[in-house]
Amino acid sequence: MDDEEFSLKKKLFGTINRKITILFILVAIVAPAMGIGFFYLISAAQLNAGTEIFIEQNTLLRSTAVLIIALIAANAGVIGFFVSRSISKPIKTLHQVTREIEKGNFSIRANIKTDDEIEALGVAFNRTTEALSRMEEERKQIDSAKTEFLSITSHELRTPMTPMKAQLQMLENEYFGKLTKEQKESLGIILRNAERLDKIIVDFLEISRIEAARLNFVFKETDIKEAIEETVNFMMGFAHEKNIKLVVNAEKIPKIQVDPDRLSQVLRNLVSNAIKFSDEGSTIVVTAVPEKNHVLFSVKDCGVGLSAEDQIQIFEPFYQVEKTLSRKHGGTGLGLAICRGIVESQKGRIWVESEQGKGSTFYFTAPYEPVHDIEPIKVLFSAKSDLHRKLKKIFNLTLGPMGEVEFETLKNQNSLWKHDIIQYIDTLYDQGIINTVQVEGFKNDVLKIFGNELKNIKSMNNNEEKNKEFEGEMAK
Amino acid sequence: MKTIMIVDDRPDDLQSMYMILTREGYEIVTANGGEEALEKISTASIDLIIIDIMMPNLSGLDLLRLLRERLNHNIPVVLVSIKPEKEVDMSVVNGFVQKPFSPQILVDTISKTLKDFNMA
Repeated sequence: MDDEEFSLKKKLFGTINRKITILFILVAIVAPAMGIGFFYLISAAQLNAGTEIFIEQNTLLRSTAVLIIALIAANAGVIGFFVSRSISKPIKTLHQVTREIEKGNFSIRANIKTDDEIEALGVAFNRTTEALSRMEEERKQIDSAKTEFLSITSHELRTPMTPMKAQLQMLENEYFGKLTKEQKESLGIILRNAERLDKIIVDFLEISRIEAARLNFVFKETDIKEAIEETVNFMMGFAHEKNIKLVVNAEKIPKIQVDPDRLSQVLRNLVSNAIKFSDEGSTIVVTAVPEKNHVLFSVKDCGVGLSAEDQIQIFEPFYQVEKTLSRKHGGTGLGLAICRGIVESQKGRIWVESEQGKGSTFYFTAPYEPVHDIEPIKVLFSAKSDLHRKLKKIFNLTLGPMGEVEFETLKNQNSLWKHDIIQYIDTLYDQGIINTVQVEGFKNDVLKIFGNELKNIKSMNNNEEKNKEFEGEMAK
Repeated sequence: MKTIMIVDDRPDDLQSMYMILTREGYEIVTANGGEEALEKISTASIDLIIIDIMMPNLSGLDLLRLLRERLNHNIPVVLVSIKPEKEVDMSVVNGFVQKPFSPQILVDTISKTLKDFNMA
């Protein structure tokens, strides 16, 4: 809208108010005018015919009146339609543009040329979108710089390890002269910690690759059973130390396209954790089951199990359950985070089901169709606050404004754990606040955030039976 | 006694490998980069080359090609790298040692590579 222009068009139609006012005046004039004009035509024709015929013309008058009203209505309708459309159409355009922006498309612009306030709104809107677009660009640049930095630093951090390890081992092996017992012990401590440092850096490198979608996958036609057995054989040594038995259940799995090294990496990590947290003499079962679109793997142990809090946090970087135990076994705290990165890079899922004191089962899926276009997966900095943010959103969506209040209440009670929320949802249903359909949806949404689907909750009840079977198996 | 040329741009890595291998009785020729390697390649009778794959200016594999051109006969090559073996092109070399290495692994790989090469 150019304020310099002084056209008549602008004077008459420059605002929505003027638009509608003028056009309705038009309607008010044109419609009755049409009607009266028509009436006149008929009346004029009849007046010349004489009064006897007047009574017959009454019927004609009535139908004429009806016709006139119909014409006025139609006329008003048509004009009204076009008037309101001239307002609603640009508003709809603006609405469509907002929906695109919601999806993250900041390059879209509203093209409104109605020469009134809505066009001004459109222009202001476009300027806001541009600002958003610039902010998004900046954010992406910072993100990629961060990943680049992580990758370069990690690499440089690894290089001193080579001479350090070589020299320490030479010293330890008495290349440069005999050592006292304490000197040997001291070197042992230094070497161990140097190696631990190197491991952490290697894991960090992996994570930076996961975040940058630079994980390298080499897909091959693989016999799943063989791959699992190979990995399990590799872990036998560690299991033997605690007299733990490793069992593989993988019949009827077709050969599929996977990266056997990555599969092995994830399995090794899960089995290693299972060994760490299992008691002496127990059994660990590795299973692979073909499902509709993927193979479902699981690693089941009868160890100490995980608390509700652990179950949520365990895939977070550096989260370690029973820190003393993990450190003793050289854990870096990044293993599960990396597993999550690998599994999710292939659009799979990884989760845990556990009962404290009874044991844990870790599940993950690998698709039949390998994913070649890897997307970046956020592994670092996806903290608890991310979880809470997602939960809060679901509460708001399902319960409306009340949702926020309820969420804060639960948060203050420290009840934002999977089981607590499920119980809370059941309470809502009992109180009649939500119906059966809403319960399903609400629970599913919450469980998705925690990484599992509704059916898994049901399967946990089935696990009671499975556990009894299992205990029977172990007793043999 | 066999003579080994070690090419690595990191002085500490170079020295560590030198210390480990002289103790085993090998004669060592060190080169702190591509230029030095190309100079020294013709001055002594080299039986095996250890080369780091990632060096600035000239990549290990390019340097290897140039070194092989200078020699009039074929000699075994052991690649060392901080990258894992599966990420490395092994087609033009005879052995691989992953960094960081333990002295024993280095010694064993060198002796095995020499043995296999001389048997062939």
